[in-house]
Amino acid sequence: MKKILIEAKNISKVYGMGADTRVVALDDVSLEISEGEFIALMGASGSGKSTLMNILGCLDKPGSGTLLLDGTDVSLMTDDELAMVRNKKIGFVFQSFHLLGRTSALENVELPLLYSDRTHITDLARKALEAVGLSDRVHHLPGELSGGQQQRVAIARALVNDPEIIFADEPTGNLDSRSGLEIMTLIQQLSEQGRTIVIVTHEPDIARYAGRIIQITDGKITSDEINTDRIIASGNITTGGSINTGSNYMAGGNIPAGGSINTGTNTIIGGSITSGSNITTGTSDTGKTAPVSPALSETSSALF
Amino acid sequence: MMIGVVIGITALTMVVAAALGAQERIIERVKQFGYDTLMVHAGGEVERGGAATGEVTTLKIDDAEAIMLEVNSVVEVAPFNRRGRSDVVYRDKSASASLFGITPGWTAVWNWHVSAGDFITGREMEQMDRVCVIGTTVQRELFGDADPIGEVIRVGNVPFEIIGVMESRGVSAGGGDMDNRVFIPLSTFMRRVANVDHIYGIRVLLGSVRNVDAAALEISALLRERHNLSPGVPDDFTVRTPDDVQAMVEGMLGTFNLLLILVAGISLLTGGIVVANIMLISVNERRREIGLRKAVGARKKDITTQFLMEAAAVTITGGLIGIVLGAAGALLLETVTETPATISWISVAVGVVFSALVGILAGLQPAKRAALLQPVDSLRS
Repeated sequence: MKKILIEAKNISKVYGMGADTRVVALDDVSLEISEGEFIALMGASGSGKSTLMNILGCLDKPGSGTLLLDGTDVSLMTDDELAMVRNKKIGFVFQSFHLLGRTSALENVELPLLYSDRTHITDLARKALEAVGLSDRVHHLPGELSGGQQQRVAIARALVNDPEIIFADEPTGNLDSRSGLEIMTLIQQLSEQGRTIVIVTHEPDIARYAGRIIQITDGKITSDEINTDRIIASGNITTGGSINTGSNYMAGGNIPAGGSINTGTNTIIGGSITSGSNITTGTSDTGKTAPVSPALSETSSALF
Repeated sequence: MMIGVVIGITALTMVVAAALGAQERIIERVKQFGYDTLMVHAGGEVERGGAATGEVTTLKIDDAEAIMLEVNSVVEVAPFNRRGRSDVVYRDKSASASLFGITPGWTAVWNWHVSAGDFITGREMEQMDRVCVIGTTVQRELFGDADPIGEVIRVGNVPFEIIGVMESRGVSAGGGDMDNRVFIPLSTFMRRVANVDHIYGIRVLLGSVRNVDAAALEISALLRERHNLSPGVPDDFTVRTPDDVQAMVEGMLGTFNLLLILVAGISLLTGGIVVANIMLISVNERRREIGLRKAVGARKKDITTQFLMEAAAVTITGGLIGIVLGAAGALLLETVTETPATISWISVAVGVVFSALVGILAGLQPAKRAALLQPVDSLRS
């Protein structure tokens, strides 16, 4: 049994004080997240999924209920204590990247380290950028990078302090489908390496990369299931081997080594659904499937 | 946004330069005045206000002789009278200079000698000769580079033969040009020029600096007795010690400095308000950045520090520009108006400290506001 990383008990969050303006964003939500899980929080806009992510990520405080992170109750911590928790244990990836426009990729990645007691921050930031395949872009400004590259910088920033869990809020929302696949591939690789990941999305196609999908509707969890129809984006790219698509590749990101070809009912490549028996191999057919370089995967698995 | 700070620090740097320059000048002047000398002026403190308009006739040349004879620590006395702004004419050239009636003791008491020719002697004094010694300003204006000795100038239509030229002494403690003077025998001044029997003042040289206060009391007592002043009647003369002179000069320069400090203060205040406003706008514009920084672990004090540092960086940059401009301004002012200026590391330090202070004060409110932003709210924008 994996260690429980996050334990949310009866979390509620209400916005607005008056009877008319009262909005219940979260209504008595309880949830456990174990180490190494890859979870998608799904729901329509206004469902409360972002509120839940913010509370789980210690960006916001629950109105009531308790939240244990690593066994520590964080629901009553001060703002500064929460800041330190976020700094040490949590990485964030946002839809709009939130990079500082006037500083280089490297400096953006260094940012969390500035608020930690870590030393050799430039080396750490450089390694994090290498891990996301941007070692040749360290001195570029965000404006000089593509959307996908910017999000990779943001992922490097989320990783740089070696957090226990990464929260990604619609990480592909501002990207084209090709860059989106690139990012999801990277996130899935991080999951394979054992990193605990929670992504928030309203797109079922993106949620399907996760091992567990939690549906939020009107502030309540309406379903919480193991994803039995998981997309595996990374296997082919890492090895140059086959893509394993289709059903029953499960949480924990276990990908069969040198994976055999499994054609399934729903194969997603580059974000589009092609039903039937499409088999696509990575390196031989890069135009369709391999937006992430092999180098990226190698360095990332080596480092994280 | 820095302009207010630039102006403020410019003014401040000039104030500091002027203050330092003034201090140096005061020390120089008092040194020149001599720590072992006293000045006795005609007229008491009450009459001094009117001294400029009406002549005070209480001090006589006999008073000087009495001080010399009866006060033990006195080494030499230099009684004198004077008339400001007299027309001095040489052939077709004319100048305006102060006319001083002095005695031979003048050179010893003021430690001020002729650079060419001779000074006025006791013999010339007795004979009420029409001879004079001129200052370098007068020499320059009337003679240029030519040798003035032996020439005759007219002061108020009385001809005087030039027998010497005084060493240049520069600006006096009171701000006047000490070289723009014509010195004639006091007897000549009293009888032939002004037709008076009183003198303007007596400068007294003492044997030692330690005797100054005691000598001042002794002279006061002597003069009160000679002037038949009964107890309770105020002095009809003033005895000035070097300390008094220092205070007087400081007071005069202080007024000027006060004005500059006012300018500096207003500019810095305006600059500070502008910086504070810009910082507030900046906080709003950078909500996302602040939110992000907090999301990745910045605490309140990290954000506060960042904004304070940024505000200080802006104002210090303005301050450094102001220091350069202020130094240039002070030096310019010195050459144009002869207001003394001294640029030193103190000017630079004061400029940097004050500009940083303005930045920190101006940044406080914006920084506090930034620190209190909630990451969730600020990231959403």
